[in-house]
Amino acid sequence: MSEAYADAAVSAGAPQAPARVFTETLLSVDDISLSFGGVKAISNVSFDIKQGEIRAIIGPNGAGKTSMLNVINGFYHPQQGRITYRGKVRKKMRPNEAAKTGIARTFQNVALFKGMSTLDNIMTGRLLKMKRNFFWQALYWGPAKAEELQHREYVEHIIDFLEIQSIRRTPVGRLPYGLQKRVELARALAMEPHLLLLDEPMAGMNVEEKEDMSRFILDVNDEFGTTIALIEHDIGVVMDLSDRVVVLDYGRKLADGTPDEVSRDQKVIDAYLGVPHE
Amino acid sequence: MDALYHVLISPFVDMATQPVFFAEVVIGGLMAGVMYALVALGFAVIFKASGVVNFAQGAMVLFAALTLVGFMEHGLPSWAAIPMTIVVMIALAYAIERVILRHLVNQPHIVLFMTTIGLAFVFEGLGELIWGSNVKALDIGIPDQPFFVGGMLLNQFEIFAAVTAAILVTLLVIFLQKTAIGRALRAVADDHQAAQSVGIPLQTIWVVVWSVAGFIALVAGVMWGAQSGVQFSLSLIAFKALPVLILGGFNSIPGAIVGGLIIGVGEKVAEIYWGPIIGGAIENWFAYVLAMVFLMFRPQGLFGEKIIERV
Repeated sequence: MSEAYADAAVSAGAPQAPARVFTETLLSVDDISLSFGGVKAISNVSFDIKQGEIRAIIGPNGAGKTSMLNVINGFYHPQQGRITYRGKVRKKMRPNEAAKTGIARTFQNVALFKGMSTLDNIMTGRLLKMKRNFFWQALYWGPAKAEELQHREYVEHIIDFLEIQSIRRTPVGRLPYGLQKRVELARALAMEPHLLLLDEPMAGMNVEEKEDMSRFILDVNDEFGTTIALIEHDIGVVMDLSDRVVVLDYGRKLADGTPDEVSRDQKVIDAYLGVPHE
Repeated sequence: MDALYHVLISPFVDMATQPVFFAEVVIGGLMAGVMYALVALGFAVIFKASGVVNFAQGAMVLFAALTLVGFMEHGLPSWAAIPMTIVVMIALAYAIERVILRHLVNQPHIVLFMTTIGLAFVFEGLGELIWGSNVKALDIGIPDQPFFVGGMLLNQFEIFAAVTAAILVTLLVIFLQKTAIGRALRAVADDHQAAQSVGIPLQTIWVVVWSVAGFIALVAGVMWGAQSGVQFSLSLIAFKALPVLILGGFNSIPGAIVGGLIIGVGEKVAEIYWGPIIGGAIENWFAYVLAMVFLMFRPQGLFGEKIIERV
């Protein structure tokens, strides 16, 4: 297995790394089906995400990848199936409740608070960590202020980590797309999530920006120990970054395994990577 | 030449030669401005949290005043009727969230705006249905005695209104700017999805915001009702609040106050000193013309956040 992984890594031009092994399951989805009216977005899909791994979800457009993230994150409620998170079967919940349980995410088309500065955007990620409720904040100036400072410190740490010091005060609406994606990642990180969902973190980026973002994703996983599930179209990136890959097509699961296993799977090659030339 | 003299010079000569009268006009304007600002505040709070002008704010002012008068007509003293009206407004905020807003998450702003137009009619209808459509006097014991300060005629009621507005604004500014809720409100106004994904409970925020707007509507309703009676034209003062908001910036609490004061003073001064030249009635349109000028040169208002859009 380690040989196979190394093989895949070499073929993708990445430095050789030993395969990582994960045992504890953080989240598993079982037999999930989701439809909108008569359109089936997801049919009977099951897979799991292990604690500490980088899990990729790939598939052609309309395969149900984003729908899957929306199910995990609580935006959509599947008609059928079960989600087990941190050992417990999860009941139907709203996105803000999912956030409370430690699930953070970024969006395909960047959902930032455009009128607010980079710093304020990232600070919103700390809202759940603020212990004093709104009314106490209004009354107790001292402690609330101290708490704000403490959160600010954590946010500065993330700003340093993602190398966005220079745009701290810039309204995010003014930033180029690549940096907006980075601010969105920062906001998600400020939540100190157990599970980080990234919806096409590298869409619309140039090669250099992609390399930066890949490095940040690996560093986040490494330094914060955050489990990451990501959707990505760039197969090279997926092969480099992820420990395991699940492939969706027309709302069904096509394959599940290491990047190498998946890339050799005939069904995947046929449906997604294209038929090889002999 | 003569016309120019009357427009450009003689009004200022009048101001300089009769400073006490001028001060009286300005103070009268400030007081009227406070009353506008009270209404505008309700708009600003909802705008801050949803990016939408709440067309129903005027109707809420009317409804709150009607409810208060209704309770008092049934023999409740004002110290009991006011808290009860507050409870009614909070219950309404809860109902609005439950029945309407919850189903409009992630909809474009225009949809929410249309909803508030509908709400305005619901409020007016509800008010008329429950409390009837007669003009009612509202007397909750605010003193209303004129008195003289340095030769100027002032009114206790107006002082009372100004102090109330000042307290209200201070509370709102602390609540919205100095607590994390302010950041949460702006986040909700910007992007529902993103706000939810960082754990902001949309539903709670909306109930809080509409309750606050309902409370402000009650304060405005009490002040306007005590001054000019509780009648259905109260819901029209919403239109006077729009230029105030354009001047001050839609999402700014201090802006609502400063905008209200500028418009109050502006229209009084214009009416008194320039009114006779064109036969009066400047007061009726002055605010809108001022708002138009602002839209041309400073569309975000005096205190509003600059609108930034990357193209």
